[in-house]
Amino acid sequence: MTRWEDFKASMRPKIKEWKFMFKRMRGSPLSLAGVAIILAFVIIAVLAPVLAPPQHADPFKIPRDGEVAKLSPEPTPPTMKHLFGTTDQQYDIYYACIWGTITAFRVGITTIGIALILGVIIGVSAAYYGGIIDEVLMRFTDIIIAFPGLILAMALVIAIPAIFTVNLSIGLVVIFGLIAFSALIMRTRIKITVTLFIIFVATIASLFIYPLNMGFTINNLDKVLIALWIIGWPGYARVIRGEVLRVKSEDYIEAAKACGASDLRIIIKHILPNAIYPILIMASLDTGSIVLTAAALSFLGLGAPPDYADWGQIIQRSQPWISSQHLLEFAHVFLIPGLFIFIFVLGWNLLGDAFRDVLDPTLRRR
Amino acid sequence: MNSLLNIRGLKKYYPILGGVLKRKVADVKAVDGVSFNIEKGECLGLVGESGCGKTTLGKTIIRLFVPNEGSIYYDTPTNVLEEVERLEKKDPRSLKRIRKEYDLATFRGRKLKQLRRKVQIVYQDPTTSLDPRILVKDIVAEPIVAQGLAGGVETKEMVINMLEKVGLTSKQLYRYPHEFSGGQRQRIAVARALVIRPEFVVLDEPTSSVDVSVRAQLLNLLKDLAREFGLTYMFVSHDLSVVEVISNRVAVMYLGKIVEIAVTEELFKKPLHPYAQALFASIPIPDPTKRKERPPLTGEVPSPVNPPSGCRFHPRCPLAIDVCRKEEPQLIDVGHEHLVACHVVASNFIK
Amino acid sequence: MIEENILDINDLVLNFYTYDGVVKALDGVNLHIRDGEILGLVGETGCGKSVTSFATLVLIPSPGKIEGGRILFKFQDKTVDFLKQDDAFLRTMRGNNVSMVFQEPRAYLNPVYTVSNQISEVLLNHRKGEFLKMTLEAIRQERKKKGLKGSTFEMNLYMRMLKNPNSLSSRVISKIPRSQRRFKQEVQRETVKILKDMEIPDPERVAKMYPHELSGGMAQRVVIAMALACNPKLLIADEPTTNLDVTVQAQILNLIKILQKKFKSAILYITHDLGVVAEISDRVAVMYAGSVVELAEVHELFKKPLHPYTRGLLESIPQPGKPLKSIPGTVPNLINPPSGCRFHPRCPYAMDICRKVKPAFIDVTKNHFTACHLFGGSK
Repeated sequence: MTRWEDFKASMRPKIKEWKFMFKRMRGSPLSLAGVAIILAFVIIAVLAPVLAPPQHADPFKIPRDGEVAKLSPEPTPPTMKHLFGTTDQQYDIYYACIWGTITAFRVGITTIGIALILGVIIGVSAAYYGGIIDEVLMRFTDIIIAFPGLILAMALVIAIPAIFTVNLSIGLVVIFGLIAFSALIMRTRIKITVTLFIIFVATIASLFIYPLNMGFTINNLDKVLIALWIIGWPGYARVIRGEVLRVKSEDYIEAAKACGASDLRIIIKHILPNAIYPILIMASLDTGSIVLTAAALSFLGLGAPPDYADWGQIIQRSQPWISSQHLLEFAHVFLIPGLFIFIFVLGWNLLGDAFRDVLDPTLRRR
Repeated sequence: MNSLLNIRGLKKYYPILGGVLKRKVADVKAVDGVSFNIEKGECLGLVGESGCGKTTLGKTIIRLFVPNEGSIYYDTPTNVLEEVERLEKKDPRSLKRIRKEYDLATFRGRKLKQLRRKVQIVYQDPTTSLDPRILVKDIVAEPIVAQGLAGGVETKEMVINMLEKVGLTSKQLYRYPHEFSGGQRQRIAVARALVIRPEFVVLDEPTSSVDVSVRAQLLNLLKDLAREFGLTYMFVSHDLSVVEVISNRVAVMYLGKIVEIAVTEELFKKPLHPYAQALFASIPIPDPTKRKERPPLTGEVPSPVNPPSGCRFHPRCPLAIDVCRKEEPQLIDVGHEHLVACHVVASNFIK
Repeated sequence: MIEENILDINDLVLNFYTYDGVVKALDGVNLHIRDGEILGLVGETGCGKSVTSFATLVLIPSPGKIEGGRILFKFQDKTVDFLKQDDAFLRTMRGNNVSMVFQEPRAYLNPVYTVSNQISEVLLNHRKGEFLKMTLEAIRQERKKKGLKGSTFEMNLYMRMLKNPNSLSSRVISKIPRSQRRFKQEVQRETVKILKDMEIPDPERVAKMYPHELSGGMAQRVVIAMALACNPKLLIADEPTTNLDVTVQAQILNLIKILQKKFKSAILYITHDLGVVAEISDRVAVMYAGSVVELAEVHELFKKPLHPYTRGLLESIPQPGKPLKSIPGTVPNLINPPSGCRFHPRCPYAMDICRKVKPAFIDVTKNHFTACHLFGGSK
């Protein structure tokens, strides 16, 4: 058998399992709706430059109609030129919604991505090694949970300046510290010498590059994002720790140890594939709620800058214009972005439900 | 007489943590001082009821658990063993060098990993001992890959070879364990254990989770493979009829200690230890004319946290005498390599 | 139904409608148990013995459905077909006239309730009236001795509960703790007595224990106590000793023999161990792939088995010194079972007709039933 035939044969049973999973999904119309919604949004995000051509160097800057000085402060209703109408100061809502999709994906996926990575690393290390490592990592997680997210976001918005400089030496020490930490966890025989050596090198190097700085520009939305990244992961760490504890006590893990498999091999090949499913469900459900939180923060004024393409931002602009007299006139300003947010979050929730339905019975069939 | 395994004074305790600070409050004395030999090429049956420590003993011998005390001398030349005997009584500390080389209890790191090539285990329940998300091909190849013993093509050949030996086909390589019956899964587990040609295999109740009709096939397979590969087995089971069929010698365990060891035929025909006698008498016989009047053994097994003083069986023993409460009996050879740990039997023998 | 039978199952057909197809689990099961006897039901895994036991109580898990047959039970000198009764009637039967003991005792005990709690639950479910009367009688006797007349609040409460057990006031008041101390004492006393009957040492202490504190043998005794608490006419025991150690099994088997004589219940004892069957049964039924293939008195079955499957089973009992014999082939897939007699692919005596026609379950010699064409099953 050639390598190609071998590969095909390996994939065949996996494909059979996937087909079984999708057949179950096809049975539930709500799940299909979820998939369809997310797919639609992906297409919008991918085709954004085509659907709404940018008119500034930065595509996330919403175009305005007319010269700055002569702009009418009132929002205008939908017309042919502005498909969804404009906000006050004549920002085009259609443009904002299209490019806002990309922003929403960015917010959701980066936060969940970091949460997954951090959560998995910390949760798996805590559960697999147990003892004091478990204690320390879990107490650290508890501390992070105690942080109030909104307040942290506000604090970061105020504290981090618009132009943010990072001292490279601190960065180096942090990176090397992480490497040393992972070496310690790996329990290699030479860990002590390696750790000491790394710390030594890091300290010497940082002394040399101390004067070097690097500057970033950072807008409020990014600061909010950083806050979300910091507080987003503890739930995942806890859940996967529970799953790993359950899987760790199974016979096949002990059997793998009896075969002489290393810790890393056991974690990657045996524990993770069996423990990851609840987290995947959590992740898809959370993406929606993260986007919702970001929109809420934007509405409070903490998020994106005024001309940034973000759904929450547009809704924030509608705030002074909503009174009982003008409600119907200017409703489109908050209704349309609001609808986008609603459907986006709904899509992720349905997708998460679909995952749960699909993954559970498959496990039961086993 | 070349013993493959020489076990001396092996102890394995599980700590019970209690209180706010989770300190050790007591120990579950799963294996509490066990000494015996396993000869090369034989199958030693280990029987006992739940809680007697037989599974713990099996797993401790192959270092899946770390023993608290005692030694496991593996493949040690006879002269070295004699040296060990001598030094144990005179100066135990000088044994350090010998122990580092031969005593599995001291192995760590690389030596431990190398040990995994020589000793293996087959678990009781094939549903939980095989990773449900991994293909059969990868399950059986795991020992080879984990130890880095062969390249891709060679690995596959070894896997196919082994699967055919246990009665499966190469077509079944690319399937998941749940697509097989219990008996077939157990064969996959056996294939995984034997694919790197170990010397010693612990079989932890391999037939208990398997249908009665398949049991005979599985036992025959194990016997054939032992003959072909020159394997030494330790067959742990609570099912006496199965042990009788496959073992050369049988050891009976009670509450962490071995109470009797003998050649299978001898033990089953004439058990000497009162617990062994009660155990054999309790087996229901498939003959309605041979019904039991009353249960041979009453009461429950005491907790291994606080075993009875002296001989552990004395509270339930019909023959218990005064000394049984005070002193623990040692395993004594009463003829034909039949060892019994019982004061009453010993005193009769001396007479 | 014959007078002396307490249970008579005729041609029971049960299918499971699963994703992979229709599993024809029971293919015409014929079974009868006489009053007060122990019938051992033997068969390998997957032959349908557990399903039969659940079906007898009409407790079939979905996606199973009974497609035919009758389950006749003798109740108060009448014969009722369980399959034609409604759920309310069946609920009065379960636990009361027909009860069940399972394989893994701790899985069937609620881990958050004590032993005495769980036994009293069974008692209160079915014998509440009896206990109320007992309590009232006991209080009356006490008061008479002390020379008191009339009734206390407590007695009135009990009398009201006796009269309208379902009235709102009875139910509300029964939820107030400490309101029925005397009554609960009586129930507790009966619970401890039952535990003592099960040969459980120190029954008062065990009554306060939680299931996880019990050993396997003790837990099984508790489950048997729960099953016998209401003195059922039929006890179904589904492999109750399979998970127990062999010495504990001997104790439990002995206990069952004693209890059966005392309570005079009929027992349907399901197992795959021929030794256990020989030890405990009066008569034996052998099942294979969804139907009973032989039913006879125990000595007769072991000495003169008729059906080839029974003969194969008896021959495969391991004998030291002789090579292991096993029945060739494997248990059939019940989604696509073999045609005609389901045993024919593995049968050394299979004839042409065995492939085409399913043999009928008939009485070959006096009370020795079998379903095999070798013995005229084609009638």
